[in-house]
Amino acid sequence: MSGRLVAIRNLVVEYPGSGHGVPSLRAVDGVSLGLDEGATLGIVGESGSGKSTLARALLGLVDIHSGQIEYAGMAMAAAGRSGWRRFRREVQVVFQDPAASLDPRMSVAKILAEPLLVHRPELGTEQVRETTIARLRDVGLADAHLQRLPRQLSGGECQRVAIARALVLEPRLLICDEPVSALDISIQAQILALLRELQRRLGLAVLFIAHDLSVVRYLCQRVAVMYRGRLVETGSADALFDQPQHPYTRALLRSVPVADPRQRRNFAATPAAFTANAMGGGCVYAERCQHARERCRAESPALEQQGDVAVACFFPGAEARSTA
Amino acid sequence: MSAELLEVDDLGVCLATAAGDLHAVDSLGFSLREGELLGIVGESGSGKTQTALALMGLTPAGSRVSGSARLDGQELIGQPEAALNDLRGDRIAMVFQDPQAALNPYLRIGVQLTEVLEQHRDLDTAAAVGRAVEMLRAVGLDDSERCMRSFPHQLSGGMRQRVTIAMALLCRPRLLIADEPTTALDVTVQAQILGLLRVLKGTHYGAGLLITHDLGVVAEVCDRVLVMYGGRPMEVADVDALFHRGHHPYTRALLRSLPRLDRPESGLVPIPGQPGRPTGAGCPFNTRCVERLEQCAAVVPPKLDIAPGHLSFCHRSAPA
Repeated sequence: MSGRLVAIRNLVVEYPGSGHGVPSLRAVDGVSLGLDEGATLGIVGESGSGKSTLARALLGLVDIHSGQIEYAGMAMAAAGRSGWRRFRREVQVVFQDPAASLDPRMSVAKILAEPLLVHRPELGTEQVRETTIARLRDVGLADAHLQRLPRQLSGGECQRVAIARALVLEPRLLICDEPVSALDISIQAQILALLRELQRRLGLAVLFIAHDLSVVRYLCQRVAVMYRGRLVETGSADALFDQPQHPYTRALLRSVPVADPRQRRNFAATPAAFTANAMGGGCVYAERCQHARERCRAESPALEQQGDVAVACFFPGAEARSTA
Repeated sequence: MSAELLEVDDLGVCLATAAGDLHAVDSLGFSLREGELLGIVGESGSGKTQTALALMGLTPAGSRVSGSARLDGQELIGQPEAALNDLRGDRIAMVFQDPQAALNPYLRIGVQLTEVLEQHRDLDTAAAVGRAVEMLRAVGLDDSERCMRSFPHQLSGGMRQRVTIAMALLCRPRLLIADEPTTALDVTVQAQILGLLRVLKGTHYGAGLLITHDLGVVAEVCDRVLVMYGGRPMEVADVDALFHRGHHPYTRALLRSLPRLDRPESGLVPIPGQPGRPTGAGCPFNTRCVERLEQCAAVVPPKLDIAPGHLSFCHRSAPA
């Protein structure tokens, strides 16, 4: 399976200011990304990087300032009712907080049947029941869960129900926004293994948004790193994790604690400074970058291919050379 | 004074809940030496936070705390409120997960810091301000004057957590308890805060308890680790022993269930089931343990001496 499923070009999303001194915020600033049929793309970044806004824009949940989004060859800005209806059927979402994304008054059976009632009205009661039970088993739950309410489920079970609900319509694209960050470690592992198994078995395309790099590395073939609304580096997971080029990607990777005391990084106690929020015309990372030079503060670097990754930096790999 | 900075024996915390008594912490013992950072690791309901709250005398109303915890030989459990008020913020201090919630939004940072010193040290304003500024610099807030004048909302999340650390360390506590201090922070900021806790140990606090669900954090900064499950200790060891020669089935299962950035090719093995309510009988992990023996459900496991300083609470004397 191949072929471009999603193409995002020069996407800009702005949140308006308050009109009382709070300026408008460009949450996504000129991002271009593609996702192939059946492929997995992880988007990583810290809070405020724009990763969730990007997903919301793709889903049509926030207004787009400029740029294009294409899904399966269809320009979403020009898509009519039937286009969006198809999009809503084929693109499903799993959110971070499973309890908040399930209606507390609906039983699991109703939660799983609802998408079918909306999108597949031709199905009979028996077919709906068969489908919901099959998906419930796919996510490792049993028929006994059908009559339960969300509050009678654990966090991990709620997330399994949310995944089952996303699967009942046989989607082509699954968008996961931090699907395991609210879960205990042992449950997180169960959900990650489940997502990986389902992705492979069903040939799903997955857009996976996470702040945890090890989770992304486990699930995704390709990775995109965002910082303050910009895409700073993207490439295959192997290339990006093994030979990161952007100073921010390097800083991120250096900061991830490794569960092995023999690989201690001895984190430094670096000072913190008040940061100016005013954005000049330069690189978004220049303020924090140890390698920033005059050009970085004056011009904004474009994303350019460097070997196996594309990187938005005037001096990619600078750190590797200076410490080599 | 005893050789150990903190000695905890047979600590129990029983919470009164709608569904009856809940033994949130049961038969917990550990000790902490001068200069040591002990990680307490566990999932939800493991009792790690209730352990910290019991040491601080902050367990919820209606709960019963039993057993003993001695700080430099002085008993902490069962002390009257007045005695605890003298201790808290002075000889024991705590840093919480959410710095936003730990700071008063209506007061400038300077006021919140100096008030601690006025309470415990009887310093005049100038001396208190001087000490607060000194402490802010120690936690890497170089523009300490501006920081003193700021309200919490004017600082970033990482800066706010630095402020709560500065506040906890104003009186050079003997024991610092940090409960998930970096969980709400971005990973680059987490690295800075962990670096800070490591560097300040010994000079600004005697010894520390770092409560976390993140084994990576433990491996990076702790000297020893206590693994808890269902309110009970599972294993205690030096970090190297725990991560490389872990004995308890739960410890080993946890380590296998982590996605690893340094070893992406190694598959992750989830632990089946979910953390349950502690029952009191037997080993709380028995329902999820793949190495379970017959007696595990009914009989509390014995304490095994694996090596000096390495304890495991398990019916299996050697890993299966």
